[in-house]
Amino acid sequence: MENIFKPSAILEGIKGIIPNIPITLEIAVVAAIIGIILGFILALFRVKKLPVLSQLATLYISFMRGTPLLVQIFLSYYGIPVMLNILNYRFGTAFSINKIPNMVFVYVAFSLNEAAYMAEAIRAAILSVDRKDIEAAHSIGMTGGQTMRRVILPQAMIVAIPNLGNSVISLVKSTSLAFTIGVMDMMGRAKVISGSNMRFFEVYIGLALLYWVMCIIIEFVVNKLEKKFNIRERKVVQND
Amino acid sequence: MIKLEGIEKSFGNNHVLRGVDLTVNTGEVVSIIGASGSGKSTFLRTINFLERADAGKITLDDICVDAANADKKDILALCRNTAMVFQSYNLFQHRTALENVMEALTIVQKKPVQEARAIAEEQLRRVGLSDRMNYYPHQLSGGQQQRVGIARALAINPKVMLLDEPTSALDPEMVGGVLDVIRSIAEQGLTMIIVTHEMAFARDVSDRVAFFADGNIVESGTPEDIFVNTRETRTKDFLKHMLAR
Repeated sequence: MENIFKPSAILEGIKGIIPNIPITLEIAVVAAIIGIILGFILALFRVKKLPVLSQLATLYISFMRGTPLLVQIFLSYYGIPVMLNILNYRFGTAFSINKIPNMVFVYVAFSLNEAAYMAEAIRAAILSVDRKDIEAAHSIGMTGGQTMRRVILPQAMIVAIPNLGNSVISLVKSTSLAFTIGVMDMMGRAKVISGSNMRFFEVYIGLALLYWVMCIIIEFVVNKLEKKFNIRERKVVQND
Repeated sequence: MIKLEGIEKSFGNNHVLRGVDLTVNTGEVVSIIGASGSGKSTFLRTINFLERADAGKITLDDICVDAANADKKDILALCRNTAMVFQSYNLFQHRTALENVMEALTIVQKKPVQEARAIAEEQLRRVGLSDRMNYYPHQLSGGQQQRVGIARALAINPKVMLLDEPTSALDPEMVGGVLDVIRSIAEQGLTMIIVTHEMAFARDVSDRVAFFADGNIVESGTPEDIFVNTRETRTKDFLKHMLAR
């Protein structure tokens, strides 16, 4: 029986994978932060209906959501060196295309992909803010920027948190694709361990459990944030 | 003094305002009455550019704005010297009563927080809400929310206060309290333009009443002129209809 299925290999697999958790987190955190910033800018282009920029944002979002992330990773992996070569050729610059760490391609692909999803979540949240609040801001003489900062964003954030949370959870799981270009994240590590001890099923059970726990933790944090920002759950504070 | 000249506004093919003229002197309270859909609310909203008039001139003391080619600076100048009380209160949902009133003071007028808080507390006291300062709008009744809306408008210390059907969304038992607050402000000499369906109130509080129909002022004068010595047939019909309710 031990030869068919060896439960202790699950634990060994988990122990082996844990040291590589930071790589996975690094990809997720960088992509989430750049994704939110870029996504916010894209959302603004669309909400403000800026000519040209709004259409470009729509096109960009459509492409990023309409092509597989794995393909985008390969586009980044093979495309960035080609573009650097073109730059070198055209402008006589001397970028070395051999010294780019693989993580850079991963960051680029994941951030750009994440931005598209974040943009849609943020746009929907901004549009959900009651028109009446915006009229009130106008009536007391706020500028567009002040209205955005003081009235729209604080309320949009509350609406956006659940969607952004979902997006981050799906991002964490997607990071498992990074191993395809040789990044030693949790997935890459699991492949190495299982390849050497031939306990594929057990190691991948361990890997699945680790991803699951990470996503449960994120979900918990998102729920807490949602509660914290939701004014309808706030108590009245009496000052004397 | 606020002077509106030749205000025009169309929504597509619907010509809502047809060259409206209105002058309100400093300290004067003017009520605009008329049937729903006559354009009176739209007219009020063109004053602070919540609706942009297609043509016309708006003069508020030394600010003079041509509606057709007003820029952001003109519009801000008008907004910062007027204040509006809305039909559905339009409070900032994510801020407490106190924060709602302080917002314009700290963010627009750049007053220090201490000073803004003092003014806001004073205004909330004035509308009888000293015990509700830290409540969020959804924790207040309609009447209380509207009184916060009035306090927020007062705090700005506007040259003109615009009230857009301030009691239309209220439960009947709340109307009296809000009208009393508005009446007491009117008596203190603030310039006001009030769009209202409350005929008794308009008659009682106004220095002048204007009857609006089909996108223009049909008749205006003292409450006595409008309600007792009515000249125009359309005004008579409207009043008969309103008083018969």
